[in-house]
Amino acid sequence: MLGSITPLGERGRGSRWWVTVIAYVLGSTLAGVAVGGALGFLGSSFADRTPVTARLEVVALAVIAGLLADVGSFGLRLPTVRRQVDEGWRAGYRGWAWGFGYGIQLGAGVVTVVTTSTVYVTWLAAALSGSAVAGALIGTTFGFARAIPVLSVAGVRRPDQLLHVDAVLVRWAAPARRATYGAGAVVACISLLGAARW
Amino acid sequence: MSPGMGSATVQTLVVVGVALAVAAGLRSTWSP
Repeated sequence: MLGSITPLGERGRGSRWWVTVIAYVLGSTLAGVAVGGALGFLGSSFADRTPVTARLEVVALAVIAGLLADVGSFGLRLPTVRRQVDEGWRAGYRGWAWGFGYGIQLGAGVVTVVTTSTVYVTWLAAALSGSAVAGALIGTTFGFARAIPVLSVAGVRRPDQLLHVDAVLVRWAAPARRATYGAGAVVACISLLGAARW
Repeated sequence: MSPGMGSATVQTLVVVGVALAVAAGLRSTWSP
């Protein structure tokens, strides 16, 4: 995805990179707000009747189950749609339009390929957060974090620089995967400690 | 349970959600 929104590519399409990027980040963040806020609202009646400690335990168990699926334990596989954003949009629409459209889809988290269970557990946490505002806060964070790495390609103005970005992404894929496992384990511990503490 | 303790657990839940959101968002950079 990072290689799709570069100054090199936008120059070739006659678009301004920063306009496309702002639209992309905005779309992703707004989608996060909308999904997180909606889940927080929809889950609030259930959350009101459920102790917060129980909700923390549910999140912790979901994180652990998700990690098992991520690593393929017990034959588990992470469920996901196979859909991706439409590459044709980049040729057919202005930069701000396809940037916003890509952002909306990717910021929703689950309408394109899902590579980590933490996406699902994030939305579960939003649903269990107890309010639309808390859910929206979680969703905003996801949408923004999903989009902001695009700034790392701000300096890509030549094809060789794009190849370098691709190489860096390949090199960091495994460490990023392991870091996500570690983050999930830490979050599960915090959830369980929080549930036990209160 | 006092109101203060109740809000602390809610805050923990929101912090957990935000931490998950950061991890999920950044990790999704490697989505196809």
